[in-house]
Amino acid sequence: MSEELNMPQMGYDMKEGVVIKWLKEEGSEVKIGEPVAEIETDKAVVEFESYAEGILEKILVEEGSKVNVGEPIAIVGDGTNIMEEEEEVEEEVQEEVQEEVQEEVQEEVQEEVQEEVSIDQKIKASPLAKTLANDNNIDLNNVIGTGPGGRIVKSDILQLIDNVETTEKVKINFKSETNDVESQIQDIDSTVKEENKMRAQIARVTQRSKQEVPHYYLSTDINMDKALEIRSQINSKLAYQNIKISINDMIMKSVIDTLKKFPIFNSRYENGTVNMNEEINVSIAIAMEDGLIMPSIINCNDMDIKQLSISSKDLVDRTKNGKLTGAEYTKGTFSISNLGMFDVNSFLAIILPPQTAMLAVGSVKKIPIVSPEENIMISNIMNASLSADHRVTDGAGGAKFLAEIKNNLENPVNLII
Amino acid sequence: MAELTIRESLNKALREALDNNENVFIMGEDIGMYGGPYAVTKGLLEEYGSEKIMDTPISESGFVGAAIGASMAGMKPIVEIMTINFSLLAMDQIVNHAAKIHYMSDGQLSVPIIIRTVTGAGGRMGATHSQSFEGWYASVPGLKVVSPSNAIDALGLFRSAINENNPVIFVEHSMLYGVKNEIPDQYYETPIGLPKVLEKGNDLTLIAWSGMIPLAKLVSTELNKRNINTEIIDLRSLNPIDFELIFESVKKTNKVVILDEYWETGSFGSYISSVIQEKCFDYLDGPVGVINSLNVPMPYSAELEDKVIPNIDRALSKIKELFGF
Amino acid sequence: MSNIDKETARSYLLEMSKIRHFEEACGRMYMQGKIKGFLHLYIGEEAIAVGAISQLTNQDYVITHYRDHGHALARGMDPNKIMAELYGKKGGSSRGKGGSMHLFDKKLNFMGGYAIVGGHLPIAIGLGLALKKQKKDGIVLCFFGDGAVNEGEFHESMNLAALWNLPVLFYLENNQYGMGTHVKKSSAAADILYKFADLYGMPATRIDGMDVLTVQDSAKEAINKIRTNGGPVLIEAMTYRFKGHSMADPASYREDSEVKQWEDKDPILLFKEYVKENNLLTDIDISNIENEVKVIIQNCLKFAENSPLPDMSVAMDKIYYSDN
Repeated sequence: MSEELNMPQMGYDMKEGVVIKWLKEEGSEVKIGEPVAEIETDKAVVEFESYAEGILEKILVEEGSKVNVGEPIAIVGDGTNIMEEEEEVEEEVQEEVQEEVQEEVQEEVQEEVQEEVSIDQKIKASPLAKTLANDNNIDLNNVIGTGPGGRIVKSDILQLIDNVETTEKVKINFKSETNDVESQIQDIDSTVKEENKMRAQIARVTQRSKQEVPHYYLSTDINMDKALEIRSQINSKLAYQNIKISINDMIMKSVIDTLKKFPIFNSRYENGTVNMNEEINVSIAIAMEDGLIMPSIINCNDMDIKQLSISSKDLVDRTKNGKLTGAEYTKGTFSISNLGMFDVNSFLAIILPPQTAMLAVGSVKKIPIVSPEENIMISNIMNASLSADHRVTDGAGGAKFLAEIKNNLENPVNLII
Repeated sequence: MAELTIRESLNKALREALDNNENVFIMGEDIGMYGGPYAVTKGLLEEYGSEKIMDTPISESGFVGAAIGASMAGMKPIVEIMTINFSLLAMDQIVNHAAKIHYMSDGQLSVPIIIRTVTGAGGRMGATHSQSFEGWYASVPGLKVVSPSNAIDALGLFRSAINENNPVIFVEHSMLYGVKNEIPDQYYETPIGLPKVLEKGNDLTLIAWSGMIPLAKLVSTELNKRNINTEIIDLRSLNPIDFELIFESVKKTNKVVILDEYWETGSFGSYISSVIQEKCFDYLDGPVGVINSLNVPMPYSAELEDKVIPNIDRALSKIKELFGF
Repeated sequence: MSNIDKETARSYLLEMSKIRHFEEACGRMYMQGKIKGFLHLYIGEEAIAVGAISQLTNQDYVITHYRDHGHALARGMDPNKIMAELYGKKGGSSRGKGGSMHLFDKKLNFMGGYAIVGGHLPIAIGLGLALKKQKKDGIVLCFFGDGAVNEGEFHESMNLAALWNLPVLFYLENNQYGMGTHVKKSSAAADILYKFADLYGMPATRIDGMDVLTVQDSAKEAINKIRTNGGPVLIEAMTYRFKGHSMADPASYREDSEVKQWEDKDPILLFKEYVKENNLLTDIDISNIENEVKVIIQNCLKFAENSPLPDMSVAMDKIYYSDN
């Protein structure tokens, strides 16, 4: 019995991925969850973990190959297929090799055809724009269309070519001491391309979310006085372990506890139905130089605040190094975006489908407030705004959810017991 | 240089034909005593006599067939069918016979006739008198179809048609007879099959013919106000068509809209569109647009007819829809 | 009835037999798949083509309907070229582009077979109009069937010919069936079709189309009238097609007795009896004619068989007239 390993979908709008590197050789043993390959998506390189167990009988695509999501890249089985092959006489093996080469060529051709079809389907571009993009090695994924209905038209491509040419000139002048102009241009090309790739990806995801997901928004002020106090106590106790709990860790903990109470906010909306997620995987927005990534801490249902802190720090580090796993990259169930460090009072986030809600938190600021005893006092106030999918939940439910988060943070003992 | 209307230039063309070729004669309904329904043949009966200028019964199949037969026997008949709507009564003669005799006889016989007829809407003539069937005839191998939009081409195309040894459907537009142009004094011919660039531009190609040319100019003027420079191509001939000039224009502007007075379904404009998208696909920066009359029999009321025929509002909104300007 | 000489008798019998054998050969070749499409046989009607066309001069025009093999042969068209045309071969009269229903031979002023019922009548008017304008002596012999009489183009043409006084002989071959519909079911004036001519002030007569000499005499008279007066004449010749409308037609709509009755009037059998009774031809003469015809038919089949198939350049040629 053999099972195919298919190009995984690592993003709700991912259509294809590139096998960057095989981590296992043909004939080696693989376990479920064991990384077998590095896959490059539009945004990052992620490890592809095997969902089958046995012997890696056959690697179907070479490193560097682009494969549509869902198409096989390797076969895992009990090893009998390899045994049979070894028993065959050499001549036949040679014939087979030749056949395989032919098949591969055919497959490549087919892949190319399919690739073109899929581009046609997902990107609206005029024939001329496609020709120009092709001639100039421009990936239409990276181009924002300004024609009717968002169609990519000639002027969009020409503008891009202009930009690239300008960049090239600047950089070439800058580095004119070296003679290797050709490779510089390639460097520049790939830089421009990568930047655009991230931008285009964000553009597509947010645009689609805004178009498809009916957002509603709720906002509240949270008094963080007690949370800050308890945080400094914890941090002083953990200092010897070199662990430092952040406000964000506390917010995460509050959100996780609240999600357990209101699991509907930990759901995903797909094809008209709401599916509950058992795992709580909290995504956190991580700002990169050229954009934004939202990786998640996997299965944090039962993590205490210390574990959360460790995990989130690790996640941030690996994000910046491009070492995320596929699951971390794609399996978030609820997101938190924190712009506190940028002195933002409050903001509203765009939900990351298929998730159904996101919490946006601003800076903690000292503000005069009226205490329950009707005294004016100075407190540490943080605004938190919930964006939620109205197809899944309603305002009243959202209000209870947000109130619970607020309650947890204002009575932070809840977070450590 | 003399300034002539299309009506006058055609009258001049007919006189030339009668003067230069003894085999030429003209036949049609009310072209003699009455002076021609659109007055194109005015004065010819008095000058050339009833042998050359033959009034016919209202018998379209009969006299068109007679012209075909006479041409096969060495004559050069010019037939006037009062309107293209009536030509349907002679469709058998035109399509089954005129277009095919040369081919079916493998060149033994030929049919060198000119059928002049009048196309188009706009005259508040109602559903049966406002149709534009030139595209039908243009689709038939063996026929040549021309459709001038100005007096210069009317004269030039007629001179070419007279020298043709093939059946030529010479389509005049009922609303254009008064269009005036300076006619060059020296003799010239307008080649059948060669479109003409009426206005040069880089942003959008407008293709039209006959009664749609004035609209094309109107659209161009409006777009010019927004700094969109249109190139207007007057097809002049519907069969044959030298597409090279069209392709050149499309490769330059990357955007095309075709104006066609016929209905939307199966229009000649759609044929032009299909050729362009097939031959210039990689040069197109948007869909090839075709603007037609709406798919209804032409209503009589002026209020309604103006909205059914392609008009400036519809053209501009279509262009905006297709190209965003 | 006029007397004819031996040579004329020989000629009529030869021409009629040639048509008969040619058509029978066509029928066989059709069944063998050598000939495709529509094939309308003239068997039974031979006396009309031969008798009428024999009265023409070279400058006269013949124009006819789709059952045109007989007229083409009687006008002198080369059987080889006709058969090759039916085979769809390059050696055909139109290199395979016309087919059975569209035979043309300009050199013989055979202006063609036309396959839209009534469609060629206005063209015949045009040929007459040209003759008149060119002040030539010729006439136009235009064959059509009883089916065409119900077409508007028949009446338009009759009107124009009479109105403009054109030299046209309207030759109505009344074989009594428009495809499978009897004339009585298609015309309110079935018994007197020729009388339509009266309405247009045109002389007209009805004759026995199974007797070649009657056909000859009436045609001669009509043509004289036309040449003298300039104006048109109509002849209605009563006849019968012995076969179905086309090869696809078993003619089940006709009673056997009706077919038998007409077969008894077979124009070739009748004429053979006549020439023997009047000592114009002997049995040996007739046998020689039969043999001569057999050779002609064998040769035309061989010619058609050996003729090359046309290539696509033929298909794309002569769509339009061009000087080169």
